[in-house]
Amino acid sequence: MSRVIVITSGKGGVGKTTVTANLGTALARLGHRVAVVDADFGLRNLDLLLGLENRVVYTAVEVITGECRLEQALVKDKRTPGLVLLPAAQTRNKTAIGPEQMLDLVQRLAADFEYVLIDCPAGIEQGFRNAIAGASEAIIVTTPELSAVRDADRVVGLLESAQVQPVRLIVNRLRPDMVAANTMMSVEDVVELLAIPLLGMIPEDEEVIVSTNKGEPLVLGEQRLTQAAAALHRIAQRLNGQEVPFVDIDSLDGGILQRLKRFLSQKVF
Amino acid sequence: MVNDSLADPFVQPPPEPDPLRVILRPDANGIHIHLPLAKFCVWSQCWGLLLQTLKQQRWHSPVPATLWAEDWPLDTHHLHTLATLLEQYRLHLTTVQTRHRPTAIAAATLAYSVIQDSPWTVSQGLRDPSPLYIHTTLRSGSEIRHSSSIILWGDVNPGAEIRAEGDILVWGRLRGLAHAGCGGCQSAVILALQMEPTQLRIADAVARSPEPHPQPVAEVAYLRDNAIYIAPVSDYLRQRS
Repeated sequence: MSRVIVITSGKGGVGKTTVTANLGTALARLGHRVAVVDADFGLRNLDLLLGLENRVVYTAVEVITGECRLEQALVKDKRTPGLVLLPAAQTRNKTAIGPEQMLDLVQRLAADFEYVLIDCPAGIEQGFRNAIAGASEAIIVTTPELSAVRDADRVVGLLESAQVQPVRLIVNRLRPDMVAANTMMSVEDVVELLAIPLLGMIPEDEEVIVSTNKGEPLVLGEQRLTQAAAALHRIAQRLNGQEVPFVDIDSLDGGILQRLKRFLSQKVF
Repeated sequence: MVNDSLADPFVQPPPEPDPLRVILRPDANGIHIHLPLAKFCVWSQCWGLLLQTLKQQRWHSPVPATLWAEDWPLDTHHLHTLATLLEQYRLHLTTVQTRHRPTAIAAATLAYSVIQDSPWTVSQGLRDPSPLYIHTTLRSGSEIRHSSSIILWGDVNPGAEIRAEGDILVWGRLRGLAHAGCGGCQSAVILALQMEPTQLRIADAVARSPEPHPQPVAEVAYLRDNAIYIAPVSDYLRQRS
């Protein structure tokens, strides 16, 4: 039985696309057949993050209008066997397709893939309605900021009324030092506000910017995994039904060596 | 919207322009607005007819619109006023079809997608054999299509698409997608002062971007034995002579 999961947030810029690209890659590396779907028509980015931008020939719109077959539009990721991307059209906008057409696409993908991950656009308008049309479960990505959490709360409500269940939470871009200093909401605060089960937390990581620019998902890092990449791997395992304990938030802070380094640099300046 | 036309959007030909009527035609891509031909009336009459037609309509959510301007000479001011009017009726102008070149240039300048020919006539051969000359930066999300060659003075940014049935000449940096000979012409070429495309297509062949030249020189992409090659323009010309 395949699982269709929409990754959404309400607010923009909290890391939906980064999470989709990395979870897709991590799940494929666990040996699953995974399709990631870019539902952000007109502002597509998922192809960029996966480093597949220049291999896009057909998009979801051509599949819907019958100009190509679904298999022709799927872009295989050569570095990650088992992972394919269904790109969105860049020269169209959100009204290019409707929820029924999205549902049809997703159902056809679900026949061939164990996981179908849908990268939802920001907002709660038609793009959002399209993205959730075929989904059977959802992941909410939020950052520990009031504005993002407020938007996430609204989206949880919309998902409930659309009967997408279960809805689980990823708290992204966490800064343990700020949480410790009481200047940032903690994961517990966010979970308490939203009242949905926690799937994982990801620390803020500069490497995300580097990986976006290189078109290479963080979780691919061969020689060394950053804290954020390790967190994403754990989330993939949890999604897969494995029991993975939540890591102590302080240890996300780069380990003792980094903390020592930061301590020393604080003394110097 | 009419879902029946989804399977083949080109099945239903557009209506013949009516001398004294603005025709609204929905299909899978949104609403098509057909203006009467310019030879039958003046612009103020046409504008009045458009107002009259729009007043009888109501859309509850924004709908993308294609303007079939046919032979009307429209400048950026005309198009801007028109787009503002359409927005009031929740029609979002995305595409302009025209047979008039200055109109095509104006539409491209305002970042609308431009169709210089109706898709229904493409297979019948080139209706407008003159090249389209545009002076603009083509940004992400915009697309230019033309039934002959395109000369673009400016850059093509990543995410933008430029499609011509003939050649494509970019007097600037080509970083988006270029598709020359999109009607099947295998001798079409793509020329750019700086060739750093996301993807190149000539006729049915597709190629990914090469490593950008360390010192950019004008390069040309051409098709040989179903593969796309890139060479500096000077080498290419020498080779051909």
